[in-house]
Amino acid sequence: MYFNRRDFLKYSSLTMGMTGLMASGLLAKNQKKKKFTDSKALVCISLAGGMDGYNFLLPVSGEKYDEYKSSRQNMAIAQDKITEITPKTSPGFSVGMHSKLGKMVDFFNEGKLALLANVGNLVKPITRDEYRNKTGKLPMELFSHNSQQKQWQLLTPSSEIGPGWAGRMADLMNSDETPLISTNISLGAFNNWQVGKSSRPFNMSGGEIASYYGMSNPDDTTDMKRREVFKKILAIPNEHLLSNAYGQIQSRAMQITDLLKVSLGELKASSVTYPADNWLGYQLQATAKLIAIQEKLEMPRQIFYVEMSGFDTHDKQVDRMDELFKQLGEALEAFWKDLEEYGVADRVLMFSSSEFGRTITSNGDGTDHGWGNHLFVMGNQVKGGEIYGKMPSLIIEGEDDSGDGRIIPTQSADQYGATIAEWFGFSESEVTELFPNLSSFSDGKIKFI
Amino acid sequence: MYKFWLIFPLSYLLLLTSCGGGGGGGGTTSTPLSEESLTVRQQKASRFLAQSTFGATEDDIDSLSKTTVKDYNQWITDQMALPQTKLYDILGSKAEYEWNEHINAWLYLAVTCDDQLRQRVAFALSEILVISDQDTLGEQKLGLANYWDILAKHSFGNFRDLMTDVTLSPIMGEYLSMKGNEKPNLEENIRPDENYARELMQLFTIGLYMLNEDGTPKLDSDGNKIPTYDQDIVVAYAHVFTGWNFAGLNDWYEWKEDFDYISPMEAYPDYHDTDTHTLLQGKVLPANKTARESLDYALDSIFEHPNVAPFISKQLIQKLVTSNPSPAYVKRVAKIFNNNGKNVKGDLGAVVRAILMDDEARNGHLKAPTIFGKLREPLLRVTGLWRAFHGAAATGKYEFSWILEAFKQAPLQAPSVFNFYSPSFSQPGPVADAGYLSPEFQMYDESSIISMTNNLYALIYWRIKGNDDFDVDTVVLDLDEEIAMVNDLDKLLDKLNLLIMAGTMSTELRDAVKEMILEHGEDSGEWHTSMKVAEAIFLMLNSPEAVIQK
Repeated sequence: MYFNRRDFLKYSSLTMGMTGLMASGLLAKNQKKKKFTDSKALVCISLAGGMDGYNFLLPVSGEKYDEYKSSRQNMAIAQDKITEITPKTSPGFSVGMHSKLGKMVDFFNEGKLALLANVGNLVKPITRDEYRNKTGKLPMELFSHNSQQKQWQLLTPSSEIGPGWAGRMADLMNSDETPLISTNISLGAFNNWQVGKSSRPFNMSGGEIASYYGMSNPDDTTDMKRREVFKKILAIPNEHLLSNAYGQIQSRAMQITDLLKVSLGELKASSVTYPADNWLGYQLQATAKLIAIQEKLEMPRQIFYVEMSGFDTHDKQVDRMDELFKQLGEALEAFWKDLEEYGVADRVLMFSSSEFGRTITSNGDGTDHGWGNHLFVMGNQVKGGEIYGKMPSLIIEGEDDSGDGRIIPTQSADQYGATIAEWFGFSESEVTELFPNLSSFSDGKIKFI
Repeated sequence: MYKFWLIFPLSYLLLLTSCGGGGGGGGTTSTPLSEESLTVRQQKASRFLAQSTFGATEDDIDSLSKTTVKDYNQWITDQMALPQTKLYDILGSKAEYEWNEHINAWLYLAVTCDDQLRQRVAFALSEILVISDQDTLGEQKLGLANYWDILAKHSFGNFRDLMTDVTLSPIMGEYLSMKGNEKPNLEENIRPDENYARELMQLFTIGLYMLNEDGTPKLDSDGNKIPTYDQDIVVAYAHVFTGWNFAGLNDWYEWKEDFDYISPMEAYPDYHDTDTHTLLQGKVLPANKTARESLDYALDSIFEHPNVAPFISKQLIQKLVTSNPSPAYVKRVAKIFNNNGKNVKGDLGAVVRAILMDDEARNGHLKAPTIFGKLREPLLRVTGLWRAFHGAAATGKYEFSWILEAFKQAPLQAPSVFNFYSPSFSQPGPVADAGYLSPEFQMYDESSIISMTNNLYALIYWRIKGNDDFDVDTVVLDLDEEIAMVNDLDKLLDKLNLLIMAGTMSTELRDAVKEMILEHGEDSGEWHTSMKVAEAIFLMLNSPEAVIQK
């Protein structure tokens, strides 16, 4: 470690608190006309890198398992590592979930978690022949990480620039001004999903909410003087766009840190233990706290982005996926328990996203970038215990294969997003406005709520 | 996205004539030495050193301000002639490798090495041809150091040679899984790994879209960007890049404790696909070539693509000089990339010289005062602090192995092959609305900025004299010269202004800093005088004016 023990003592002796008076002043700024009066929180769990959904939800026995095994070869999961599930509507063969997902299988059985079969980025429905003959319309740069993340996050006809769909949702709520704490909060990396035209996400990577050293102790006159001078420096008029942008981040950080410090300081500690060394769990723990103080912050709607990376399993896939699914299951288990303890579980919808699925074929000891994917949504308002959408054929060069086992999606991310936006509280016409491409898919929204 | 021409009005037309399309050296007009005050020369020198080193020092400023801007060419020539400092050697001389010791070794290199320009360019290259220890390579410290040295070796070499050495590096081989990539096995539905093939093209050489020589995207008749390649091309290169593994294996599948992470990967013919393949721009690799012949053919086919020059030139400009170079600037540099004047393509030494000596690099801040420059990278803010104020520990080491947690950036520790930030990132709000790029802002958010500010606080206030409870490995700032100036505040602030922000401090900032210093009263005790200097350095380093390298 770089800091010595004395440094840590200094750090811990810094007073973290703010006076109640300062806090109420900050909160007052957050008051404005609200579009919604009830409380809801949306949590996007981004499985970054391209999660292999075909080993997440998969055939467990019989002819379909043999078909799966013969296509996936050394990427196939052994039958004894799959936990069978019984969806309300049978897909026509026995299916299961990767057993390392642990508690997530129980969530499915309890009806809290629903599975979405073969979702992906589409411009409009496309068949294998259209793909092979290059006659169908396709999203740009189908198999590139950042292009497909962006496509997924923007869901606009030209998915290159412009606001993301969570940002657009926030815009619809706050057309006049951006609140002190943004509706959109990222605990993971910066993402385009939450950037609106007028609204801006609050990015607190890792969920850390630290106090400023040397500027936070209200009893120390030097601290308070430094704080005043620092704020004065941030407010110096500057014609340089980049200087201003930096000053804005620093100013926002100062405001929001003060506000959250107070609000979180008053929150009763939770008894839930999150799994150790689990980055997703760490972000979800911070998310649970922010949902628990949602009303105090006077935010009728919150949108969170958390991220789990490591899914780009070009090699050592079988072992790596075991560990990744284990971490995912454990993090969600703790998060859900935490939400229930805070008494806020009913207002939460969690949904998973990933830029693409992976190839059914193997590259030796891993898989490459695919297209369609199996994903999940979870919440007490989800009609769980069900698989929505058609399970694709996993036969190489079969009807659903665009080539090398890159499966063509049969449900679009637009349909997925629109369903979520409807739950969020937007009207039919608002949902249509939010997802301009929705009309290309005759099935419309997916019925998991 | 690109609006530079709106704010670079007529000046660029003038510039083009005065520059004669140059950049190959000596194209910059400059005032005769006698007409420029020493202060102006010092400020120009400090500004130049921010672009070309890990931070300006008083000595370097003094030495460069004896000359006019035109003579920076000689400094560049001198720098290029210096022997390369090897990270491998710094790390290798340690008896044992503690956790993240390669990070400490890198900090030592960045702060103390003489070949600053070579290493600063290597730093830029390390953020383009990205490998990271955050995946499976954490224990391969010597291998990681050697990868750094490969980049630094080619800082002034040829980009094509860099492509070969990076491709065959076992560190890259492991990171993007070309190591152990084998020819198709149809019975088992195994086909070659596409990881390296895809990222080599997308991130390391040509990018996703066809570019003009000035770095702007080419558009088709409908106004859409034109993809540089499709999935079939990725598959083709994936096939070509088969048959390579660690050097010195008895057989392809051999497993041992000590794989060779230093020597270039070797070809294992039985695992190489020998089919014919259609590559970029319709080039056809004939069948039955050896792994090495195929590799050379494939790398040539990428290197010959017209995108390489603007793609790499623009990113190097962004990482050294300014986030939003004008298309004309990119084009001048790309032309040198395509032909160094001796009909050689890919001469990075010539490219680096062209970037730094271009009139836009030297005077762009005067012509586009509202956007020119770039946000300083967190890592460079730390090295800059230590270089400017003689940061040193009793042990001579620069121990900060958890700098990634503190500053959200560290050498060779990016979260993915997409680096810490994208060259096309644009900060939402006025910057994005105006169509400008601000790549480094991707590292700065409302959480990370607090961590960075706090850690700079710790590196300054807790590292000054009067606060002398230091361990032998504590990097302490030597502020004796500055402390001696506290009775003449303007003189002190002039010095800090020159070192930290190339003399661009506003009156308001100066007044604010003075206000804080006066808070400490007349006390002339060691701790108080040290604190006065610390206050000034901290507030200036974190000010919106100074944090942008202009």
